[in-house]
Amino acid sequence: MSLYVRAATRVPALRSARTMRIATTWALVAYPFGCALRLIAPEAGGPDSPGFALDAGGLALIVSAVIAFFIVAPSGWQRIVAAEEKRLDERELQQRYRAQAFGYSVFTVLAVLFAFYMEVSIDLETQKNMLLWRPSTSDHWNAFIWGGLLYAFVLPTAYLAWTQPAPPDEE
Amino acid sequence: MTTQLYNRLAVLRAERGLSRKDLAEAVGVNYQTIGYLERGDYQPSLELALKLAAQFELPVEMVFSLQPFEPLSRLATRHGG
Repeated sequence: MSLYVRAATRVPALRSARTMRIATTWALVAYPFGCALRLIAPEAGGPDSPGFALDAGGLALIVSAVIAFFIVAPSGWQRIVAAEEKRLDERELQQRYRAQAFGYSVFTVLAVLFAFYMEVSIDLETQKNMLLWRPSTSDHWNAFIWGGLLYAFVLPTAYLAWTQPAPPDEE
Repeated sequence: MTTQLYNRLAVLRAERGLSRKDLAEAVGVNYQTIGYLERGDYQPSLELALKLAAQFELPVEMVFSLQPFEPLSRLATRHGG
């Protein structure tokens, strides 16, 4: 599953390999850090309180991750990952299958680790009365759902950005 | 392990005055795929190799080879005496 935002001109937006590497990595790193900052921020007080700064910083990171995604979304590599198969040639299909296999593997590992953490935290709480953080509010679950979508959309493109040679220039 | 596949696409394309886009449209691929092929970053399927050879009206082994192609200057020297 992925998302390709087709430009009005129907031509994929030109993005350098460097831009794609930075944007995909930023989207994947900034989002969880932003969520973590917002989680550890104590109840936000006035603009001068540390909680407010952490909360605002976390929100800024999340917004920057979304902006990074929208830099990636109309690119040629995102087109390879997400456009309809009939619009791709054999090289692009080959790249898509590799990228999707990578994205699926990483996503699966993350999902299994999350399930394992949930199971351990429940066990520790019931058997040893030890409290580990678990998502409990709708805000927490929202963060996971949107994060899951972001990772599903960006992981395959990040694979292409980091492993494929830069596309040749148009003549 | 992948064997390196050499090709003469860039030379043939230049010789016929075709742009990557022209050649790509003729064989039904993205123009970037032609660029990747020319750089040796992508190895075509048999179908695409045959289509490209047919486009240049040459046998496929004159367009693609498992051995590096001899430079045309050396061939011309040999045949020109």
